[in-house]
This record gives sequence, C-alpha cells and structure tokens, in this order.
Amino acid sequence: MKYLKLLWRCVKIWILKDFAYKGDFFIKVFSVAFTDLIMPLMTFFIYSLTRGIPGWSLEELLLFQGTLILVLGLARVFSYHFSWWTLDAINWGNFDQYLLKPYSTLLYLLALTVDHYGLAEVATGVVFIIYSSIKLGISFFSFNALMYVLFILAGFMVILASQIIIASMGFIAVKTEALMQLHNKLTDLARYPLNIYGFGIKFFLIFLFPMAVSSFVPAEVLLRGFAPKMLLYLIPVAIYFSLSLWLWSSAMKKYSSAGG
Amino acid sequence: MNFRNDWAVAKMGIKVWSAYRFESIVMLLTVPITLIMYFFLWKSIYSYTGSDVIRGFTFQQMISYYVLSMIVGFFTWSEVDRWIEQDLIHGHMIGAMLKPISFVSFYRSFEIGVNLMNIIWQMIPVFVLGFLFFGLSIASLFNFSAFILSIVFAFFIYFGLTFLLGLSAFWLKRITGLRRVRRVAFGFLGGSLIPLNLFPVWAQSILHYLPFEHTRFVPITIYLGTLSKESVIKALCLQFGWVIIIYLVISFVWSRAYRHYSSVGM
Repeated sequence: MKYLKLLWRCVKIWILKDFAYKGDFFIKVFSVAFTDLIMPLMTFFIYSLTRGIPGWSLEELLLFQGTLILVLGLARVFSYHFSWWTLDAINWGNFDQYLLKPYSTLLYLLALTVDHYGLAEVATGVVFIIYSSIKLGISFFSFNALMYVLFILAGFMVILASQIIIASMGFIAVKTEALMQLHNKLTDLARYPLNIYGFGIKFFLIFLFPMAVSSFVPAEVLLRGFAPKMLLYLIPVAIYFSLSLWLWSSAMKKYSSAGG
Repeated sequence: MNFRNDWAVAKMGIKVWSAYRFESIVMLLTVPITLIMYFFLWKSIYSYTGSDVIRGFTFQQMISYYVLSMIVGFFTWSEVDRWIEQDLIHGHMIGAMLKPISFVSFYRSFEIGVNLMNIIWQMIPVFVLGFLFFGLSIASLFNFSAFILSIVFAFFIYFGLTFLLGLSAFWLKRITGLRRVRRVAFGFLGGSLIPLNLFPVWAQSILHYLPFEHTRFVPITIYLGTLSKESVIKALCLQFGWVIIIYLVISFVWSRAYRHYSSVGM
C-alpha cells in the first residue's frame, strides 16, 4: 500500500512538473500516441497492396499490434525510465541516496521513474484492440480474454525484467546504455508475428528473450483460443524475471559507494 | 564564409561523437537485427502474395531499399533542434550567438563533424554489410555520383527542417514533444519505414509537394537505378530548390527569433 501511495505521489509530482510547459505536455501526449499509429498505418498500406502476412488478416494483425502497443505502454509507464535513471545515478555517483530510503530500493526507483506519458500509449493500444475485436467479433467476457490479460502481464514482466537486467549491469560495467539500444532493437523483432521468422529467431523470442509472450501469444489466445500447453510459454518468462531479480540483488551486494 | 571557423566547429562535433563512439558502434552492431526483421517480413509477404514485384519493387530491391535507408539515415542524422532547445533552457544561447561564426553555420558545422564520423563508422560498414549479406548491388558510376550529391542535399534539407523546428524553442521553450513528432514524421513521410511507392496514390501526390521525400526516398531510388537519367537530374534540381527555399525560410524565422530572444547575461 505504501508503494502505491508513493507511486501516486510521484505521478502527481511529474505531472505538476510537466505542467510548467503545458504546450509541450500536450504535444508530448500527442507525440506518444502518434508514434504508435505509424506501425498500424504501415500495416494498412501493406495490406491494401498485398495479401499481407500468411495466416493473419488485417484486423488480426491490428489486434496483434494493438496488444504490443498496450504492453509497451505499460512498460513505458512502469519501467521505461527506471534503467536510465539508475545508470545516471551510478554514473553521477549519487546512487547512495536511494539506499537510505525506507523502501525497497528497486520498488522505490520504479515508483520514482514512473512515466505517465505511457498512458497515451496504453490508450492507443486499447483503441486498436477494441477496433479489431469488434471487427473480428471477439468477446471479452470469456476465459480466453482472461488468459489474454494474463499473457499481457507476462509480456510486461519480460520488458520490466530487461530493464532490471540493464540497470543491474550498470553496477558491473558503468557504460551499459548500449544494452538499452540492443534491447530496443531486439524488441523490434516482436513487432511482427512469430510465423514469419525461421526456427532460430522463434527459439530466441520464446526461450531466450521471451518477447513473443508480449504480443504473439496473447493475440493467439484471443484469436485461436487458449490451449493448456500455452502455459509453457510462461516458464521462460518466470526464469527471465527471476534472473533479473537475482542479478539486481547480486549487483546491490557488490555495490560500493564512492562516498559523498 | 570562414572555413577555418567551420572546421574548428566541425572538430567539436567529431570530439562529441568520440565521447559517444561506444554507443555508435553498438548501434552499428544492431543494424543487422532490423535488416533481418525486414528481410523475413517482406519474404513472407512476397511469397504469400505470389508476386515478384510490388509497386515496382522486387524482393531484392526492397531489401536493398532498407539497407540504403539506413545508410542515408546515418548521413542525414541531425539533432540540432535538441541542441537549440538545450542551449536555450540552460542559458547557453547567448554564448552561441557571440561566437565568430553565424548561428546556423555553427550548428551545421557541428553536425557535419558528427556526420563525418558517421560516414566512417556507420555508413561504410553498413554498405559493406549490405553487399556481403543483403544482396546490395553496386550502382553505376552515374547513379553513385548522383546518390552522393543527393545525400548531401538530403543532409542540408533534413538539417534545415530540424533547425527550423529548433527555432520554435525561442517561443515555446520546451519542444521535447515536437522533436519526437519530428523524428517519427520525418522518417515515415521520408520513406524510411516503407518506400513511398507503397503509400496510397493520393498520399504520394501530396508528398511530392513536400520536402520529406527528398531526405530519404529520393537518394535511395537514385541509387537503386529506378529513375531515368533525366529524372535523376530533375530530382537533384528539386532537392537543390528545396535547400534554397528552406534556407530562405530559416533566415526569415531566425531574424524573428533573434528579435524575440532575451537573455539575462552570461
């Protein structure tokens, strides 16, 4: 509960800070939503000229992309700035201050770095999901929908885990911003359905960097129905997330301050 | 024009690039990831559609398009709006104005310095990567020369448009949101995500009257050899025309911005 209070306080502070430049605030909200329109727009253009991606109609692919936008939006709200902030604090030597707070350092930093602009991204994703669901006649009052939400949360956990891993690496090797670039590029691979790739990339996106869970699996659940074996997709996610927490706690133990 | 001053500022750009060389090299290493994604995406679309050509592009040309899109992107890179915004917010603008070099030249030379390093560390390696792994073919001498000239114009157009956006910070102060829109809109409308031929015809006819296609699409099509010699020369003249127009607009807006600006000293 105290973390939720902290989170809410942080959101209020960021909004007040951003309101110092109201014009820029609204443009930023627009820009976040606008950025997410590009991928579906590109899809629309491609489908108007070709048969598109095998096994995916235009509406199905929009559902897929809307789901990914929603997951990325959630990740933006709760974890996007976390790794940057942590790396900056390490580089500037002021990380110690976060160790002195009466909160878990990880949760405190996650609350502090909340990014409310991600809500615009979440809203854009929801619009695409609703639009395509109506077109496809999908009901959200079903067991499949419940599993869809579960996999969306799992997808969010994957990105959160990645951010924690990047931040943890900052304690070991100071310059790890490059890992962020690598992460963003690898995330791009999840922007299209898994079936377009060869075995190697599929294996990578399911088992090693389980981003497939953030869009492909939830969309599959909603479109083709849930099958119990799909729960196996959650195993790599659980391992990946546990690895990130283990790395974070190891990094915390190794951290030595320069004083100050 | 004082080239010694320009070169001195360009060297600053080189120094700044050097501070971020690790990131730039990692960016280079991640280039194949994006190309692999487009390779599989278009491979599945071409085979599912059952057509060898989509709006004038064969599969190989499509992949070459993305390789060239990255090459042109590295060359035309500009974040001048960000520098202007930061200089204004942190109160460094007066320093930039007092330098013995014009305001536009200062930022342009700085970015030329950065992009000189991009040529060595990003453009050339991506060319090699494209030739070795993604079937990029060698252009004819005419097309290659025209391509080089075209990307130089593309740089000036992209820089000019970004600079104009940066000048809006003199009135708005914070332009973080606008910069984000700029990055996405310029890229999309310039044809960095998909070739402009794939846009609906009505959108293409509007885009022909805008400068964005000259920042990415035009140089790429010149390299790919999909334009006749006459069309290449016409495209280069149009690019040059856009450079002139944009710099005239810059000098007009800059004089307004300068009058609007007030500082509290150094």
